[in-house]
Amino acid sequence: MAHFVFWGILFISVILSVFSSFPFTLLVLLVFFARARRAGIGIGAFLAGIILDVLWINPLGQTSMLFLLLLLLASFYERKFEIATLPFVGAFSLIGSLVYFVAAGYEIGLVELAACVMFSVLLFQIFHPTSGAKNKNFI
Amino acid sequence: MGGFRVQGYVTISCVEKRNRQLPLLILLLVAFFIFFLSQSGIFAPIRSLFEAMIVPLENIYGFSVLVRKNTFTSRTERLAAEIELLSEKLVDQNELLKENAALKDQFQTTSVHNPLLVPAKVVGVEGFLPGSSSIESMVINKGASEGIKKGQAVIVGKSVIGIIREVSARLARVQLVTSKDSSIPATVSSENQGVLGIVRGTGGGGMVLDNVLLSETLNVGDIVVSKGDLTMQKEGFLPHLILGRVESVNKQFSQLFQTANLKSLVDVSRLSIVFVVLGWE
Repeated sequence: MAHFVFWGILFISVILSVFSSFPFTLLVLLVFFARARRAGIGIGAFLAGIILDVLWINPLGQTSMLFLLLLLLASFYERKFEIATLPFVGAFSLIGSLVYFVAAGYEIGLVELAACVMFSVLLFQIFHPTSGAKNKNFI
Repeated sequence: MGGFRVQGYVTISCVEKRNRQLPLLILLLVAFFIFFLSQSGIFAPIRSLFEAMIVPLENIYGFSVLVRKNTFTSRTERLAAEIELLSEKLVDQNELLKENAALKDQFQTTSVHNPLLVPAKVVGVEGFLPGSSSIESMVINKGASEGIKKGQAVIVGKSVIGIIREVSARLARVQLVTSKDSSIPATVSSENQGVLGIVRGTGGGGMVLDNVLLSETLNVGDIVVSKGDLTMQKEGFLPHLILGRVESVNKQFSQLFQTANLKSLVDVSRLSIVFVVLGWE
């Protein structure tokens, strides 16, 4: 069930990302990476990036590299500190969105960045663990 | 072994954390490899196949066709569906009228150089949030299969919109003249013939006419046109295409050159059809 939730949300976020400059896919990936305990999210990041590159006429692999680099950074941070926390999700989605806007050549606005942080924090809260049994098998 | 509790819910082992990095690293390498290969155009056929599926969808407004119901139980629902269908047809008809008017205008425009034009629909604008940010580039529904190449000019009427920067089989990205990386040799179309300069995009929908000698006279309201920088490969801009109108002049005698702020005569955010200059007769 949890797999379907992740892939379903990822699919919707890819569709939304195609039609707007808001980094839905990146934020969904970051939140689920912080929230879940499996590396399967990396495959999602890779595939979502490839699909977005096709739709945006970017060189294939460019967006995947950006997503995977950010997830890798998060995983390095995870070796020392806990990442399933609101401050991490907020701060990392801010940094991630900034990198995304710069890489895509978009204008960086405070409103957009604030919206990104709010979106990821909200998503993190929605998928906050309620029981150990459920969480253990998530993704 | 080597585990700890997180917020009282999860136990994560250090081994598991390290195991999360390895697949990410492998995928990153694969992505890099694909990126490297895509630079050589090896994926062009696969990409073309994807685009053949996607481009028709991009022309449908908001993917409404995907969520439309096929069966209706009540008369009210049936009538509502008919209204929706008629509304969609009305929108389509209005679009066709606009398209016809644009084509008529474009092909009635006469010029010393008769450009060979390809009409293209705008299927995407990047980085554009109405009221918050301006358009820096747009995606059109014509690509290499229609003869579109990098460096070709994109116009509407006699106004320059931008230049083709990336091309795939069925799509192309147009960098607008107002984007930061844009610079075009220009001249002023008025009695001050011979005023030369470079029009640079400033981002945010603005342009500046730069590198104009202090001895030249620039006036507010002057129309700035392209100088013409065509190459033998039919890339670049034809001469006398409108870039914008002078809104203000910045002339400081301590500077080597004077500059002028320009405003485009075309509202790019409202464009639905543009024309790519394939060559000229």
